[in-house]
Amino acid sequence: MTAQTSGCPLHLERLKSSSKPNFSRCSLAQAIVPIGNDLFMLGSKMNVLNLMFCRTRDIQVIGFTPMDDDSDIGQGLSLDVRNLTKRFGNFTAVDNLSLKVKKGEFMGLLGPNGAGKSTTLKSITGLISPTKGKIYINGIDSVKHRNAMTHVGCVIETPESYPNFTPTEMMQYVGRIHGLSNKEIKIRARDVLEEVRMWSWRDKNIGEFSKGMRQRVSLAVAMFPNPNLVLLDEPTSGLDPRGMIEIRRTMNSLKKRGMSLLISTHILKEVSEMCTSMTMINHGKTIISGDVNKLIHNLAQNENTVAIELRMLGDLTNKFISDINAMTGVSNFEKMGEGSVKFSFNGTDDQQADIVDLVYAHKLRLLCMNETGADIESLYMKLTDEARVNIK
Amino acid sequence: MSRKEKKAKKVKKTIVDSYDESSRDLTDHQAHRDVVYALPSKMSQTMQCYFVQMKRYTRQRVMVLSSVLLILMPVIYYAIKGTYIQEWLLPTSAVTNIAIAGILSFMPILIVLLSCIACGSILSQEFNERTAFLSLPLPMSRSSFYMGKFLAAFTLVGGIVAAAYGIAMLLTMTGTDRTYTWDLFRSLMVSLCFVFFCCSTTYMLSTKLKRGSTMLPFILLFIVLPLIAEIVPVFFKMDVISKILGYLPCFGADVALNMLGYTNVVISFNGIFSNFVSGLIDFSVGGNPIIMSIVCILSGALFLFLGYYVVKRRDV
Repeated sequence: MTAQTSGCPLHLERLKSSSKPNFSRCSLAQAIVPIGNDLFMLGSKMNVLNLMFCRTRDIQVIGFTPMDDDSDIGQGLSLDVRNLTKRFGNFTAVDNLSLKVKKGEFMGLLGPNGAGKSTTLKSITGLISPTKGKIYINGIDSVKHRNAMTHVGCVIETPESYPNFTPTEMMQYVGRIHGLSNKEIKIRARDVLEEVRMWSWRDKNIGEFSKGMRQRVSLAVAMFPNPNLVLLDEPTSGLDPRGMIEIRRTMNSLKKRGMSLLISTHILKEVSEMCTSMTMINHGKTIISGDVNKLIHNLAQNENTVAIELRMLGDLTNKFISDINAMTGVSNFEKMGEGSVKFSFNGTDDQQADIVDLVYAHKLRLLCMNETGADIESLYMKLTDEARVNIK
Repeated sequence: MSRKEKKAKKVKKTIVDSYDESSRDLTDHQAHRDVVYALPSKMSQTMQCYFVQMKRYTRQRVMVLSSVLLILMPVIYYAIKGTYIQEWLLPTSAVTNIAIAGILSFMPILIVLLSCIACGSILSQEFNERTAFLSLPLPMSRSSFYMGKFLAAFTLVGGIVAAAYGIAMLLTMTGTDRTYTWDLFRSLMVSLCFVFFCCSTTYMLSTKLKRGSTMLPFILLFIVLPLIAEIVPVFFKMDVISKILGYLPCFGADVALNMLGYTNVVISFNGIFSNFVSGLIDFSVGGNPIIMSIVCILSGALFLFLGYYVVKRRDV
């Protein structure tokens, strides 16, 4: 650590389980001011060389950042990615991407294949080193300090556990790397393995498990250190519907524990069901970011288009189809099957009622009329279409 | 506190510790999730990686193979004892060290082979089988991960070599003069230096090769390097070059055997090749075990560092 002038926010990690760190033995006790959870500021007229004195039994200095440019680090944020860039030769996978995940926030990271989602998550977890930019996890620079990963759980690109290990042994491995005692490892292992419904398989070799079970073990490993930030990269990819539902159920249980989540996925339903906010990226750049509901609401306001599905009894004549197509506001007409049609509608309520009248006029019996407004799928399609047009 | 109370407290503690009364809706406190813990030191994390790798070895074929090789040593020894094969392969000598060297004459090939099996795909396997995606995001440095695995491989091969020396000593308890000198220990040390070199070279190659390889480092260490060392002097016809090449670390095991007074190495490629062309080429492996040990350690450390450099910069 080099000498640094005064006024630096310092990241101090507590080592003991006392509720408040004890600075009484520290000669700089008067100069250290708490400014957040596990984050303290060194008072003025102090030199970073004096940090040596801070190494008491209760605290450990794990990094510092000059106050001038990063004064809001760790302020209510679990993850703060700033101007992240990753280049592979001439190809730029992530281009100046910024991302903020607040404490307790569930964020979905969306984007088409090759958008840079996995690269972003890998950069955050240190699997790849970023070309440029900074990543702060709970206010700690994760590129410089591996300690930043202490309270992070991640499942990146379907990781595999050692096939000739049992889930219990995997928990022991992870627990010991985190410095947990055997007793704590035992208790936590049962807790997380029960949470992912793998407790009854605890003594079986992971190599004998199905893909879904292995994925659940990986999730248990991620949850083991009781992280306050969980990073998931397509956690349900390749799983059967039951496996998907179970993984989603487990992820929802993270909400109860107040964890933050950043999930990269192609399954939009997962984002709309679980996440409070979303960031969409394409070609390594952020297209849009914000609250999921607000974004969908804005879309619905901008485009007064709804999808209507009709199910009817009776033969759908060509005359009926041409009449419906000719109605005001109807577009994208599609015949779904026997007695079922789907189309987009952009019009008034009266015009919508005319459609029902038309059905009866053709002596058809209406079974069901299903209207769906703007949803995350339409939002995704709109944004990816816009991105394509911009590239062209 | 009465005896009864103490007992009750003990029982209560046992129940909490064994988690018998648990259910999935535990509080953070009950699940020990609120325990504030400190990350262990780098050394401690390295040792964890070491133990995990050792555990993996115990469940892999390499361990079975090594055990079989060790068990086979006395079996072969007693099977061929007194036959013409023994006279050809293992020297019959009343001098203990020479007899031990005879039993250990398989050692050069054994060390290279085991190093290649133990380290040849140890790292590439982590990346190919995607287990690295689980280990590397953990809050430990890549150096801990890298060194822990290497130390496990070195311990495994070194342990087998030490055990082979031990078995050889036991086998020479009869039929020899039973004078065990310090040369035996020094020979073991040189062999361990050679193990270090072989393991680090193979380990470094496993960081560079995508799928890992057992064959490539074996060919390199056992055939290519000795071949170069013996062919080059033919062209240069300089004693100095011949002597320098004799200290190539690939001859470490030969030097270790030579220290025991056994010069007729017939099992290693060098031995076979030397016997073949001894009339044409004036070549001998390095004679000073200290220099050979230093060369093995330095070149091993260099390869180890190169491997670490590759792993540290590697984008997974």
